[in-house]
Amino acid sequence: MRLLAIEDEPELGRLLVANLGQFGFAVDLAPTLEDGRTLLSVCDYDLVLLDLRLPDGHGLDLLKAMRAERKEIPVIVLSAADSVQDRIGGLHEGADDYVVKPFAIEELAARIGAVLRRPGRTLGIDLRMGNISCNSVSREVEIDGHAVVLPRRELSALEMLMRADGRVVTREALEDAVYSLDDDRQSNVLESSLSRLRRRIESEGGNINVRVVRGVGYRIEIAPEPVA
Amino acid sequence: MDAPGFSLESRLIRRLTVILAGSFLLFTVVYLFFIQNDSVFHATEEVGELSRDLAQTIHTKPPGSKMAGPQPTGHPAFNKAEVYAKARWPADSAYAAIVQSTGEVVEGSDPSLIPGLLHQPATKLSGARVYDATGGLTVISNERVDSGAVRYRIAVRRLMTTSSIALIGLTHEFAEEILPSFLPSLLLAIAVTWFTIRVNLQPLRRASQEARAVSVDNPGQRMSTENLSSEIRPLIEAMNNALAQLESALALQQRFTANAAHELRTPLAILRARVDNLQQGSIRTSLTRDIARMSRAVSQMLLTARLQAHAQGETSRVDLASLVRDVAADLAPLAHSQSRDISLEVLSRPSVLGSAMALESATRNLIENALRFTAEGGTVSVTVGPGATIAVDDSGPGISDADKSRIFEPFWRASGQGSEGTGLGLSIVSEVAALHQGKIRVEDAASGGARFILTLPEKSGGC
Repeated sequence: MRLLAIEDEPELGRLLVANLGQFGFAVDLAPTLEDGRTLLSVCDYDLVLLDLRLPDGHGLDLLKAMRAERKEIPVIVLSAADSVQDRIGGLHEGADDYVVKPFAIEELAARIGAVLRRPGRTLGIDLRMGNISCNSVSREVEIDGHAVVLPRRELSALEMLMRADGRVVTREALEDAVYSLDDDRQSNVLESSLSRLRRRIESEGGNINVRVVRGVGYRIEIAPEPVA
Repeated sequence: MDAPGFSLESRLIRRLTVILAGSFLLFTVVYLFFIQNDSVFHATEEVGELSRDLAQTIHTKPPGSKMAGPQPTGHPAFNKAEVYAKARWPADSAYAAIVQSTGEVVEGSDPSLIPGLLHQPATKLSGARVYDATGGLTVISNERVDSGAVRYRIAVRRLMTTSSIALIGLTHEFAEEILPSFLPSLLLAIAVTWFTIRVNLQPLRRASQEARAVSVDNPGQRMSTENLSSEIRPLIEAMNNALAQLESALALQQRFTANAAHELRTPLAILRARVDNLQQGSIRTSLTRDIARMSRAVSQMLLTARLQAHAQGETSRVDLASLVRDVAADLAPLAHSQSRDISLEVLSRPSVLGSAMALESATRNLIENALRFTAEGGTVSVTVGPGATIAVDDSGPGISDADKSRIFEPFWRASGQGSEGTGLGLSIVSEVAALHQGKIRVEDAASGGARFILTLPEKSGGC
C-alpha cells in the first residue's frame, strides 16, 4: 500500500513515514504542493495524506484540482484547524476523511484502513477484527479460523459493524443496511438479528463483543482478555 | 418598525398639528373679536336687504281674500314667509309692515312696531338703531315702494340682543369668510409638515434598519450616509467608524485563534508522532496520556477563545436529536473502554438555530463531564426533550448546593476531582448556552448524581 504524505513540517513528515511504515504503509513525503503535484503525476498512490497550510498554497487547492481532473485517489486531510467550516470545507471538496492534529498513529492507520475499505474501493475487502474476518465480496466469514455461514441479515449487520471498526453504527444506518425495502421492519427485528449474531459469535468462539449503545446504535469491540 | 420609545415622526407631526390648529383657532378668535363691532352694521345691512327683498314680493291682494287685521281689500301685501326663509331668519325675530305715505299700516301691522317711530319722517327712520333697556337692538329699515298711484314704505324691525347679533355675525364670518379660506390652508400646512418630516426622517429610519442588522455574525454591516442631514450624518459616520474598528478587532482575534490552533497543534502532533515511534512500555503510555491531556487543554482553550471571538462558525438550523446522537455515538467507544455506558432517550426532535460546532462541543463536554463522575459499571443517561433541552444524568456523588453556582466558572474544579479535566468544559457549555440565548442549570438527578440541563430556544417549524 503506497501513500503520499504532503506535509511541510519536516519532523512530522519524517515520523509519519516511520510510524505508518510500522502498519505496513509505504509513505512518500512531499514538503510542498509543487512536490506533491509532481509525485502524483509520476507515481500511482493508493491514498494521499494532505496537510492544509503549506508554504506554497492551501491543500484544498490541490484537492480541488485533483477532483477536477477526476483523480479519484482517496484523500485524508490532516489539519490543525478543527472548526466545522474547515471540516465541511475539506469534505465538500472531496476529501474522504479529516483528521485533526495531534492524532494517534493507530487512529490515523485505522482511518486510512477505513477509507481504503469503503464500498466501491477495490482494495481492503477483507475485514478483520479480533479473530473474526469477513470478506465483503465473497461474504465468507471466518471465526477463530473456521468458516461460518451466517444468514443474510446477520452477515450484513456484521459487515457494517466491522467496517465501522469499533465506532458506533446508528440504528437507522444498520436498519438501512440490513433490510431491503420489501422487508417488514418491525421494531424489534433488528434487536433479534443482533442478539442471534451475538450468540453465534459467542458459540463459535469469536472474541468480539456486539455492544448496544441504548438509543444510539451498536458497535463491536474486541472482548477484553478474561482475567484468569 | 415597532421600536420601543416614542416615534419622532409622529411626535413632530402631532405637535406641529396642534400648533397649527392652535394658531388657527387663536387667529380666528382675534379676527372675530375685531369684526364683532362690524356685526351691528352687518345686522343693519341685513335688515335693509330684507326690506328690499320684501319690496320685490309686494303684490296686490285679490279682493275677498281672508286677511288678518282690518285692511281693506285691494291693498298691497308681501310674501313674508318666502323672504324670511330665504334670509334664514326665525319667523318671530323680525317684523315687517307696509305703511302708506299717510302713516297708515296697510299690511303686517305689529304691536311691537312702535307707532311713534312709524310716524316719524321716513328719512329719519331709515337705518335707525334703537337699543332698548334689555340690551336688545331694534333696527328699522325704510324702503319706498311705488305701487300704482299709491306710495308705500316698508318698515322692517329686527329685534335682537347684542350677543345674538354677535353670534350671527360670527357665524356668518366663520362660515363665509374664515372656513373657506383658512381651512384649506390649515390642511395644506399639516400635509406639507407631515410630508416634510416623513421625507426627512426616511434616511434616519433606513439607518436604524441597517443598524439593526449589525451583529458579531455580520460585522461588515454599515449604515448608509446617503441623503442624511448634516445633524445626523456625523453620528452615523462615527458609528460606522466604530463598527469598522470593531470588525477589524474581531477579525484579528479570529485570525489569532486560527494561527494559535496551528502553532499549538503542530508541535503536539510532532510530539505525539515521536511518542508513537517509541517502543511500547510504561513511558510511552504515560507520555501518550500526557499528550492527550495537553491536546485536550489546547482544544478547550482554543474553543473558549473562538467562542469569545464569535468565530464559532455559521448559524444554521440544527437537528438537536441527531447532533446529540452523533456525539453519544462518538463517545461510546471511549466510555466502553472505561467500563462505562452511555444511553440516549429521544423524547422530541427539536430543531434549533445555532452553531452546530458549538452545540456539539457543549454536548460533548456535558457527556465527558458526566463520564468522569460516573463510577465503573455506571451509565450516563442522555435525554433530548421535551422541547429543545438536553439533559445529562450521571451516577456520581452529585454536586453540593454551594458548588452548583460555581461549577460553570472557568477553571473551577470540584474538590477531589484530581488533575483530570481542564476545568473549562462546563464553562464552555455555559458560553455556548449564552451564545444561543439558552440556559444551563444543574439539579440533583433521580439516581443521586448530578443532572445537567441545557435548554435552548426552539426554532419553530422543527423537523
